[in-house]
Amino acid sequence: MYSDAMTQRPPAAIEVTAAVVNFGRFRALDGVSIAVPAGSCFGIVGESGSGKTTLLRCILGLQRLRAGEVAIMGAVQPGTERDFRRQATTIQPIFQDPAQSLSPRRKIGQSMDEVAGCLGEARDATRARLAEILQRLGLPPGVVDQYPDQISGGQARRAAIARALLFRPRILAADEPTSGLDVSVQGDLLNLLQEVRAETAVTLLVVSRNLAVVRLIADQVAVMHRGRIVEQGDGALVLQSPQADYTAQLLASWPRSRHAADLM
Amino acid sequence: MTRDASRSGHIALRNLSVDFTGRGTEPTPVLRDISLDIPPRSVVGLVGESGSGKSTVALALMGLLAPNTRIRGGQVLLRDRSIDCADSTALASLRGREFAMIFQDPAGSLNPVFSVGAHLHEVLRHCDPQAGYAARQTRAVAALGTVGFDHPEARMRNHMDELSGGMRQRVVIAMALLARPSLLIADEPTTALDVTVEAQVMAQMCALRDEIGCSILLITHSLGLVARYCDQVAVIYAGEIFERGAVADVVRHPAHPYTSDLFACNVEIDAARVEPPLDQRFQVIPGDLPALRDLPEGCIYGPRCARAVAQCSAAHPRLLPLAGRPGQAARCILTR
Repeated sequence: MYSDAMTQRPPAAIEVTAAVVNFGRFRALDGVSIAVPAGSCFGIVGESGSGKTTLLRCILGLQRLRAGEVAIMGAVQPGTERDFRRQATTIQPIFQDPAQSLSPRRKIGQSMDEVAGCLGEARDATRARLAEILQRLGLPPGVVDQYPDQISGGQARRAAIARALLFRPRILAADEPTSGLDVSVQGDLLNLLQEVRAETAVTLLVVSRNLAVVRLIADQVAVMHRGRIVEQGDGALVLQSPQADYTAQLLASWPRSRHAADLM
Repeated sequence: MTRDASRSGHIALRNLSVDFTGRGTEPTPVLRDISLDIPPRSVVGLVGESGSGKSTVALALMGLLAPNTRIRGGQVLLRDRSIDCADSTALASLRGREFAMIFQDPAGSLNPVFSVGAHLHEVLRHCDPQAGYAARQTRAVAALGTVGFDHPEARMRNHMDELSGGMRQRVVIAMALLARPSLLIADEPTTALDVTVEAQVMAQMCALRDEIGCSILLITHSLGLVARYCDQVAVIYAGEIFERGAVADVVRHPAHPYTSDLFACNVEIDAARVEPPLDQRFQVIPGDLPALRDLPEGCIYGPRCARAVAQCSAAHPRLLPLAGRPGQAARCILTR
């Protein structure tokens, strides 16, 4: 009670404190701290090699820290093997090419049944929830009987997201969700994520090089450079009037089509 | 430099049509009647979504199409010559000297067991067989300096695994610089690179154009890059040119509905932010690219086009010039 009154902020879904990761002598993360409020969208931006994917891997429990701490929904990681399994229901990744996270040798439905095993839920109950999710994502119910190569790339991407949602996660962690997509397809995927967030209040962690998109969807943004966070704060502020030189440089390099046309 | 004086000519592609063939299947018309004009020293953008055929145009120009393709027609016009696109021997003779290409993945153009210097020497041996080792070395080091390497002599001894993606792409640009082509074809040259590196690589390509006076065909799906670096642009959709013209005209007054839809989908870095961000929604083009073997009747964009009327499906529209906008043309019956 007392502590509730003292902390005005909502509890953090993800809290990383002074994380350090070394690969040999190379320091990939150098004292990184972030706090992602539950229900918010948090963007991590930076260029290749800045450490954003390493940070994401730490959060997913796929990378051991040399120093520092990761807490997911208040539970410090890594816990026991059992905790790690249970974490599947807390945090679910969406990888750069989500379609790749579907086994090519299994029908979509079989990949989905695996979730039932993980959750310890009856298969029929999972399938019933799946039907709802498929409908919400605009997928025909028939996809469960098809192999990933029998459906379009866009459908496979949706199927992979459906599988992530089937876990009823509290947090979705997306790594470069828009890279390699055409602008029209990118919009479709982003709208889908936005609708999922609006309906389920899931926390969304987005790791991306796409500043233009992160700027529009993220409540808060952290800018990474050489394993450190050079700037973090409110999305509107950081990517509108950046304080760090590096952030300003990133924004200035971004090609703008309208602007450039007006200058001609 | 008499060789340079003669390379002020216009380069053009006329009526290129390409089919993909397969055993036991009907040929798939991948490109239909593609024409491009590339004025001297200009940067021409070719934009389109994945699967629109933009890379096939580049490979056809280079004479590098896969064996499962059939060229139904098309000519490359180069100064006073006209070369049949189906004549792969004639196109091969242009490769390197007249046309050079930069691919999306520089690692694919570079051999991991040879040093940077070996690659540059090879280009010079091919393009200038008379030059001796010392002369080649001087020119190769100078080329690396031109593309922005700090210690070009030391870089000559580096191998691919010692270079970052942006550095590798700059080595490929240095190779193009030494070949002194009249046309540089760049197929998504910066897609794999970070924005700050992208800006450097694009600046190097423009500097290369200024130095050797070549033209650039920039194949990309980034509308930002087109607006920033191109003089002319052609918009390609499912194997057809939908619109072409000066960049300033096409960006500001797109004539084809597809062009405006595509530009509307582009997320600008200075777009107004919706508060709360959760309410932000993004522009999309409903539907998918048509199946090339089963193209819609009439305008192939018709089924996805919000402005389509009954006549759109009646006849296949032609690419016609727009009244009052010199150089701009669109394939749409609604914009005459």
